[in-house]
Amino acid sequence: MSAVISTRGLAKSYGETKALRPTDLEIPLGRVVGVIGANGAGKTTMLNCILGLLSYEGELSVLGREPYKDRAQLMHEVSYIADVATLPRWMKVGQILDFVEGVHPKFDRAACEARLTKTKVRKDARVRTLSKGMLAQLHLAIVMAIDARLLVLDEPTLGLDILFRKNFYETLISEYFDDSRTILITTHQVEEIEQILTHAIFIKDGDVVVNASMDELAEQILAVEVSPDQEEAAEALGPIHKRKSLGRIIYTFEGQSREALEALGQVHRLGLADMFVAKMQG
Amino acid sequence: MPVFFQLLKREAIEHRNGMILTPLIVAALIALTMLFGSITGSQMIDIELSPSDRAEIMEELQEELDEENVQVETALGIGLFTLSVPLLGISLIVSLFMLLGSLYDERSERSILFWKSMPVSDTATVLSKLVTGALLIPFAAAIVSFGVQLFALLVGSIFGSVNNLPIGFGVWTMAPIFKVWWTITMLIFFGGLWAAPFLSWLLLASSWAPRTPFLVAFVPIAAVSLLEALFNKTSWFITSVADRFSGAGLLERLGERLEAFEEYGERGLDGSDLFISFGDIGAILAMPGLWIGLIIAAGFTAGAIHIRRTKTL
Repeated sequence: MSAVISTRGLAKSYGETKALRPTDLEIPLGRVVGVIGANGAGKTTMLNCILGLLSYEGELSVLGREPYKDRAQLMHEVSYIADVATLPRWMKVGQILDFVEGVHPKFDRAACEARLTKTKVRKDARVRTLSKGMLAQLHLAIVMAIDARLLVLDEPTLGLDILFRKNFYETLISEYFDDSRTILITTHQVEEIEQILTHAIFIKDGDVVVNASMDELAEQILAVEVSPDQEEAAEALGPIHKRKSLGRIIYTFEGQSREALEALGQVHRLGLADMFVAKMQG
Repeated sequence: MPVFFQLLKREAIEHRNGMILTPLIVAALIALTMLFGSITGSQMIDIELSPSDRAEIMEELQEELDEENVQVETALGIGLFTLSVPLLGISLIVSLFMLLGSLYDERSERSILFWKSMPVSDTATVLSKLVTGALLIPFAAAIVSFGVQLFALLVGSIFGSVNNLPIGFGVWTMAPIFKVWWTITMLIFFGGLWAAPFLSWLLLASSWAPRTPFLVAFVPIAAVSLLEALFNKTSWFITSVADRFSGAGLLERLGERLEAFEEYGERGLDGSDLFISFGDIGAILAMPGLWIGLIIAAGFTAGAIHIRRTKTL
């Protein structure tokens, strides 16, 4: 089975509102995919469909299963953090580990405990007494100790400080990710995950508008600093975005060759956040 | 079924206060009352009874004991049952609120997102909650009440021997302790089955309720009862609901016997009449009401499973 996630016309509507428009995706193993979109663009809707938490229209196969019908079986191979602070507040840390160990055959308790010893999370602490950061550390330690093929993280670092966030993503890549797994991440802190992504998906108003590797994106979406006298020539090439800065005009192009753009001025690579802004506003 | 066991264990952790702590506190109160009563009782015997009165009472007691052991056994059995009643009654209330909260709380605290990330089916989850409410909570209360019974026998036997009553440590051989335990265990088991339609209705309300599952569960019951009272001038529905919840229908047989015991007590009654026999189990299993209830319960439970599966947030 090559594709972890495969969709054909995957869509979700709430009455008249189209939360996700028909989407075709093929995501194989060995990718770290950033799902990027504005608030309410449909990121969480898409992820919740993939996790079997939401019904949907169209075809969706995750590791060969239909998530909505087969959620329990699918969870042997998929782990996720769908929101901040979803761990049961009335349990003790050790009791949660007991439970996961009891119900999940692919949970490596020793690995989880080893990771927790590097944090301030104590096993006899009740979850409700943990800080936001400790909760995230605990939840991450649990999902990373599950030998899953697909890991889905929906805003996993919301409300956490920058040091923690950096450490979180570094650990994820150095200690968890390999060719046998795929990770799907959504976050608003696009700059922070840019370095770890292999692919990015942009969602705009329920539509997947970009689905490409980071290398492809870096090739395809380029910015050019154009002096005012070149403005007409630049406009002729059909930029997707334009902004003015310190007397210069910066155009963003998609799918234009670097050579053609170099004739207009200095060509820049764009950060993921700038690509996103260009695509969304263009 | 190891996963199911894990689910029951989780319920026991979540509901440890209602399931274990509450019965223990009530048991401690009962035990203290008994202790206090026996101490003041001993003092009263010493102070207030003249030696001749005392001898007379002893004689009467001895006569009764000589006459028919069975009657003493039955009286002791009723005493032991009585000690369990408050604890079992409280466990009904605990179960009611546990079930009303079960599928609602996990949505309101959002932990459902964590539970659903585990390879555990909605069916197993919902059934574990039903089993906890219907059987586990009452059984926990029963086990605590068995402890209270043993404590009562201990206090009673010490009281008896200290005061030179004809029945002292003899209560240990005369008290039908295992028959009482067997009967209570069977009552809880079949009581749970009998109450299943009501309990699974609570579960269904809990799975669906946008807020206050208590109202979602009881407003329809109140509405149907009211309509029946208004238009039909009867109260069949509310009586049936109360019967299911309290297990009254099941206790009917036992109730008849208790009446018989009061009437014929003087003549002595076969003590085995007080306890559930295999014949009784057969009779319970032959009650159509039990099976109709279970079918209704299966429907409500299937509904709760469906809602738990489809309504995550």
